[in-house]
Amino acid sequence: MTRRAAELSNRLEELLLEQAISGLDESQRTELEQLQPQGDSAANPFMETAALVQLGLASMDAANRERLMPASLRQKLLQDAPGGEAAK
Amino acid sequence: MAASLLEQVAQGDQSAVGKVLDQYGDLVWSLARRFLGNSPEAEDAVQDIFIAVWSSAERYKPELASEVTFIATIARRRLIDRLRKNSRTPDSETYDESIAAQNPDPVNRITENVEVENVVRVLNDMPEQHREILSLSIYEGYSHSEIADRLAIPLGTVKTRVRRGLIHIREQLELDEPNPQEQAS
Repeated sequence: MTRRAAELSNRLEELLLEQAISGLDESQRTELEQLQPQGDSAANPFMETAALVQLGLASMDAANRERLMPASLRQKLLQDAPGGEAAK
Repeated sequence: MAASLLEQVAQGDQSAVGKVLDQYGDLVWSLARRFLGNSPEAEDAVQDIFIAVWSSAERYKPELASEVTFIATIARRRLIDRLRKNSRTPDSETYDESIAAQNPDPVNRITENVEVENVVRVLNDMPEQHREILSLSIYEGYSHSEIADRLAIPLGTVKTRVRRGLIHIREQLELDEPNPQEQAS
């Protein structure tokens, strides 16, 4: 790999990490799109890893025992869903 | 093989929608509450997340990821977007042990998921402070500077630990993936 290619690869990884950790600003998003012109711009393996970390930490968090979704929210979600009241 | 719930949703099965909410609703709610800290904000976020789940259901491929991982990844994108627009507010609700004792654990289903089991193992193997930094950043949505202040460590250290932690976990999870050649023998 050439030095330039290695720099671009490092920068791509940096941006993907940043996107998965705290998101990107507009200029970073543009830069990422330029570094990933042919790939699926939504594909970010670190995003999935971060999501798994959230799940893992959630399973270790005893305080989650009380976090049941309010019934009113569930009703809204059903209305928003395909075939729900919002779709009619 | 029976279609997954998301595949059923993509095929227009109305009953599958309710089942997805039964299976993952509380989990997504708990992730949103923990990440955003504020109930009204978390409610809006959960609505956004499930609208994205319904519109993405036809892209779900069970051979690539479990349903919970697919949904959690969608959730993460939405939660990050929302946090960037609004600053995080502290979670004002206190943990009540009596409520916890009465309610079934809304996230217990995910502990049966192999991917989650593996990530928990990797997290438990990490030094405590590294895990704490990851938790504050990835799970609780604190900014790097907030974490640096809270733990009285340099900002650069926080950034490095979060990035390297994520890279390390990804590498460990890739090591855990079954080798197709081994499966075939």
